[in-house]
Amino acid sequence: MYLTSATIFVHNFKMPSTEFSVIVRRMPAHLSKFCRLRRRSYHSYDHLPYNPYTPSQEKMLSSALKHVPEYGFVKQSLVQGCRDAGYLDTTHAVFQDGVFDLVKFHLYTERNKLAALKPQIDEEEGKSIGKRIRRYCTERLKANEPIISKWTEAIAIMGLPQNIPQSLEELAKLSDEIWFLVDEKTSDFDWYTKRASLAAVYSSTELYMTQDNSPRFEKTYQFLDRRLAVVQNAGSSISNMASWASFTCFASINLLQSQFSRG
Amino acid sequence: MAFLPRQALRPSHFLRLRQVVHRRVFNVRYLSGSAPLGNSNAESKVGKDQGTEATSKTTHFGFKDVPEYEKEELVREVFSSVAKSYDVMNDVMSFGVHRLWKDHFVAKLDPGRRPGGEPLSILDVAGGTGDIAFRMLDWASDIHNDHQSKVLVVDINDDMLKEGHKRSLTTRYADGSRIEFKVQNAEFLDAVPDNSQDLYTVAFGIRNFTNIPAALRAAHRILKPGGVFACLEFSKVNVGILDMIYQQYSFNIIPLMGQLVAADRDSYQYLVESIARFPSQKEFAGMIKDAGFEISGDGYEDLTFGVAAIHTGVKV
Repeated sequence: MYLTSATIFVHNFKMPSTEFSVIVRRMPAHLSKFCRLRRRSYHSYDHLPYNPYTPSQEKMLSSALKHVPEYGFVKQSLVQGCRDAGYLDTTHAVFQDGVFDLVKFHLYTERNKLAALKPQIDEEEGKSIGKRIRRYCTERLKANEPIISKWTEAIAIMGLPQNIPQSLEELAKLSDEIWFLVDEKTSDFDWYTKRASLAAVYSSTELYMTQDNSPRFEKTYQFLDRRLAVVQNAGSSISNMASWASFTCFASINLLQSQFSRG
Repeated sequence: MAFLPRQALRPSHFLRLRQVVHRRVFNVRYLSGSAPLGNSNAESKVGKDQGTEATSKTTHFGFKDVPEYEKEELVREVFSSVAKSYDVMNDVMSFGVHRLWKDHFVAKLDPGRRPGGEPLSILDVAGGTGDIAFRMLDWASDIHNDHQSKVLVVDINDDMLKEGHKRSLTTRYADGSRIEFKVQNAEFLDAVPDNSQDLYTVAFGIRNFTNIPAALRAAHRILKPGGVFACLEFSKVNVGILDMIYQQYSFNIIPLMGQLVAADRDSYQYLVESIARFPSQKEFAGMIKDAGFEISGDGYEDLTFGVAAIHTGVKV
């Protein structure tokens, strides 16, 4: 589920899967032949980068995005984009989802640009996870600034019933991308709660940004800080709650079992 | 074995079709010596000269296998016999949903000259009765205020085109300045120059083509760079239970309805068999890519759970 096309990071950071191969290599010989552990390739950096857009589609959609500040997320932008790319007025019909394809393209390209910022952000923010997450969120929000005046149209398009599954997938991919880029290594249920909470923070901040008129969107970034602080506090209290609940549950079950076994 | 023509008491089209199929499929001489049926293009004459004992390639005509050069004529016969009641047939078979499908198809293509653009040149293939052509012209005129874009309707069957021309006389395009009807074979499109069309549409016609890859290559040839290929066709239902119901309906009820409504069971039997033989959505999208088109995403959109599908591709 670490879906990113940044294979350049194969060499730059330690892959969790190398720990697996270390375990296999250090196993006693008479056991390792029974164990089929070998390096799995379920991380996206083990596969070739996959671009769902052909070069001509990229050309059309990126020139269409340039017209969005003027016309908005409407067919007109798409048609102008096709014209600028050197194609015909009818070419927009090839996009199966119409204007939603334009929205998806914007989300896809901006998400993929985050990976290139990793070296810079790691250097500037050090080891702090909270600070790095804040940096990634602000960089991603900055990418919305040129089209923020028309972003409410995009949100409306994303909210159409036939588009909701794909919009939620894009949000989940963005949240996953940011957590992956901060090198978090949880392997329990927290993996899901972290991504869900970041998705909620990011989407609420983006919505706030559409109504923000402050200079350089200061109020938006303050809003982001407040949301992240709430999540950090809630995160520890929720995990404390979960620990308490699981302990109570197992303790009660053990108590009942001991009662029945008494006879 | 000699096949004697029966004195028909039943509608002549029904019997003629059975005779044609029987004669051609079983290589039987026709004693009464009547002329070959239907129009003949230059291309199909070549095949006929080879005679009935030629071991030419075979293709499918519904669930039967027929020599390739025969299929064109058999298809022409089917549509000659259904031309007049084509709309009624469609309404009865799909409970009127075909109108929604066609409206959605045209809305998706959104044809029309845009401000600052050129008038469009649209080619509608196998669109004999003009369903799609009229819808596109109406859309361009009403939505985009475009009174200059033109549609060229081609079909292999002259009867269907005559029907379409008759209908055009009752519309605002009666003067013929925006719509033209021509007999053409979709695999060659002789009268259409290279790189001349903005939009190529084929609605419920491509499953009847003898050589679909050749038709796709011809489409690629005549489209301008940036031109769009759009195909609306019956396809495979993607939900298992619905597929079972659909198959039962297709093979049991539709030929019966054809017999009751249009007195032509064989044509409708051919139609449902040809739907079953048509490739699935993914296979057809692959064929479109092989012809040189570029697709976006999967390249198709399912309508009504896959009963019909719209495939689009662009020539780049």
